[in-house]
Amino acid sequence: MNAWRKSMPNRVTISICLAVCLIYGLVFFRRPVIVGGFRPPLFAAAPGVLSGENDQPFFSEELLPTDPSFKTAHVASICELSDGALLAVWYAGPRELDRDVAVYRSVRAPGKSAWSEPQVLVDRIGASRELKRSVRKVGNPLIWSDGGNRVYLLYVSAIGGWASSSINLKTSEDGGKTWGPSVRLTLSPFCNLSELVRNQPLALEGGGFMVPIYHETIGKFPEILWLLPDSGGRGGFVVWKTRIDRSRGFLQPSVVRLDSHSAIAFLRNSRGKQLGLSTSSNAGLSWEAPGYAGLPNPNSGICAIRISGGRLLIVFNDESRPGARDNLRLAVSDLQGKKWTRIAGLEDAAYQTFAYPFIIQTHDGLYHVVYSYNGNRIKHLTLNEAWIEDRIRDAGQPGPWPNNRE
Amino acid sequence: MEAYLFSFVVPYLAAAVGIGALLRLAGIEISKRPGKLFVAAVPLILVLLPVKQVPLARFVAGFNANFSITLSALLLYFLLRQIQGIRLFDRRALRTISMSGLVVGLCLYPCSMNLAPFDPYRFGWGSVFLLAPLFVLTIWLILRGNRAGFVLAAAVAAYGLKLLESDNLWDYLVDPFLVVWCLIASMAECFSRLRSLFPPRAAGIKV
Repeated sequence: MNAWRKSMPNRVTISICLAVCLIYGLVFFRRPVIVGGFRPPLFAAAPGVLSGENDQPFFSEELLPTDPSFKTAHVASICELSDGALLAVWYAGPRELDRDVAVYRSVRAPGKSAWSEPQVLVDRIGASRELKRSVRKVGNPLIWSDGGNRVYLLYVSAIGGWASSSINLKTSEDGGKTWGPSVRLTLSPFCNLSELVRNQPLALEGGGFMVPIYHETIGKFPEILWLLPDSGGRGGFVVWKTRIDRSRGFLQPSVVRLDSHSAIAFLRNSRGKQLGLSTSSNAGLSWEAPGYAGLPNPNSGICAIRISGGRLLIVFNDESRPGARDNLRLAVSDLQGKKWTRIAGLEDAAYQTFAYPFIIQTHDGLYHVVYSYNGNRIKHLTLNEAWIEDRIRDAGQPGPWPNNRE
Repeated sequence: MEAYLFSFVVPYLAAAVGIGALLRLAGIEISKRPGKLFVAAVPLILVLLPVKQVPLARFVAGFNANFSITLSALLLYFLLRQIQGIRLFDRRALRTISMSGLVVGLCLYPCSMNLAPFDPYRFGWGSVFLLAPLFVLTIWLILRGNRAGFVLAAAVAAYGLKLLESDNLWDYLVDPFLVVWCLIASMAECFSRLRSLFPPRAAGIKV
C-alpha cells in the first residue's frame, strides 16, 4: 500500500498537471484549433459579368504613367474596385532589388481613360516603419479586392536577394484610398525566409482566399496559401499551406478555378523548357504530380484565366530558350489545359523583354492584361470576348505572330 | 503589441549572457551587486540602441523575429546560473531539450526546404495532430519530474497568448539558433559519454 502511495504523483505534481491542462485549454479558447485534417473551403463561384454577345471586337493598349527615369518597372497586378475603377500596382526603381525600389499604385476611375499619377504605396522605409524592423528591399506586389470595399495587397520584403523574402499583407477598407499597416506572415520555419507571391488568388466560400505562392531557397517549389477569416472574431486570418509540387523546379503557379472543388495550376518552369501543369480535385488540398501543358516556357511568369465556353486563356512568352522574353502571346485551350491554340501575338521585338503578365476579367466583361514592357514600363491592354472570338476564328494560321492584333 | 515587446527578450538575454561571459573571462566578479547591475543594465541599453532607425533588438528581428520560447528559457537558465548560481534546469532537462530540439530541427528544416515530400510545419497552425502529442509529452515529462516539461508548457502558453509574431506553434518550440545550440550540446554530450566509456589510462604509473 505504501509503495503504491509512493508511486502516485504528489499534490504539487497534480497541481502542475492541472495548470498544464489549463494552458492547453487557453490555446483551444484563444487560438483556432484544427481538429482532424484541414478541410479547405470550396472555391467561390466567379462573379457574374455583363453579357457582351453583341459587342464589336475591342482591343486597346496603353502604357501606365511610370517614371521614365526608372530602369525597372516590374511585376504588375491589377484589380477592379467596387465602383468599377481599376487599381494597378507594380514595383519600380533604379533596378530590381535596389533599396530605392518602391511599390507604386495608379487608379483609373470608372468611365475615364486616364490613369492617375503613380503614388508610392509602400517602400522600404514605410515597410520598416510598419513592420517595426529593418527592411532592405520590397517587391512583387499582388493586389486583389473582395468584391466590396476591402482591398488586399501582398508584397514581399527581403533582407538580401529574392530568396530571403517574406510575405507581408496590407489591407484597405475603403477601396484602396487608405491602407492599414503591413502585417508579416510567418510561413516558413527557417527565419521565415524565401516565401514569395506572384499570381492572383481564388476567392473561397466563407470569405477567405487561396493564394498561389512559391518558395525559392535550396529548392524552388510552388505552394498554396490559405488565408481564412478568423472565426473567433479576432480579426486577421487563419493560415494553412500546402505544396503543389516538390522538386521539379516549378514555381509561380497561376491557378484557375474549374468548379467549386477543382482547379488547374500552370507553373513556371525554372529547369526545363515547357510550361508545367497540375490539377486538384479537392479544393487545392492536394495536387497531381505536374505534367506539361504543351506550351514552351523560358523560365518566365505566366498568367491564365477562365473565359466563356469552358475554355482557358493564357498569356505567356512563346519561347523555350531560357530567359528569352522577347515576345508575349495569347493562347486558348479547353479546361484540360493541354491543347492550346495560339490566337494572338501581343508583343514581338528582338532584344526587348515583355514579362510577368497578369490578367483579370471585370464585371463589364472586359479582360485587362498588365505586364512589364521592356523592363521599365507597365503596359495595360483591354480586350473583350468578341475580340478573343475573332482571334480564335483566325487562329490556326501559322506563326510567327508579329502585331497579330491588327 | 505583446509580440513586439517580447521580441526584445531574446536579444536582451543573449546580450546579458554574452556580457556576463566576457566579464567572467576577464576575471571580473559578477555574482555581487555591482556586477549583477552591470549585466542587467548594459544589455538593456544595447538592445534599445537605434540601428537603421529601429532599436537593435528590432534590427535583429529583421533577420529572425521568432526566437523560440525554448531559446528564451535556455538563455534565462544561462543568465541565472551566471549571476545567481541558480540552475533552472538539471542535466536531464538540458539533455532532453538538446536532443529533442535537434531531432525536431533536423526534421523540420530540411522538410520545409523541400528535401522531403512531407512538410510538418503546417501542423503548427493549430492542428490537433501537433497539440495532442505535445500535451501528452508535457504531462509525461512533468510526471517524470523532467523540467523540460515546463519549457513545453511555457511555449504552449506563449502560443496561446501570441507572444511571437508567428501563428505557428513550431516557432514557439524551436528556432534555427536553438537547433545550433542543441547540435553543439548533443555533440558535447556524446563526446563526454564516449570519454566515460573509454577512460584515459594514467600515464607513467605502474601498478
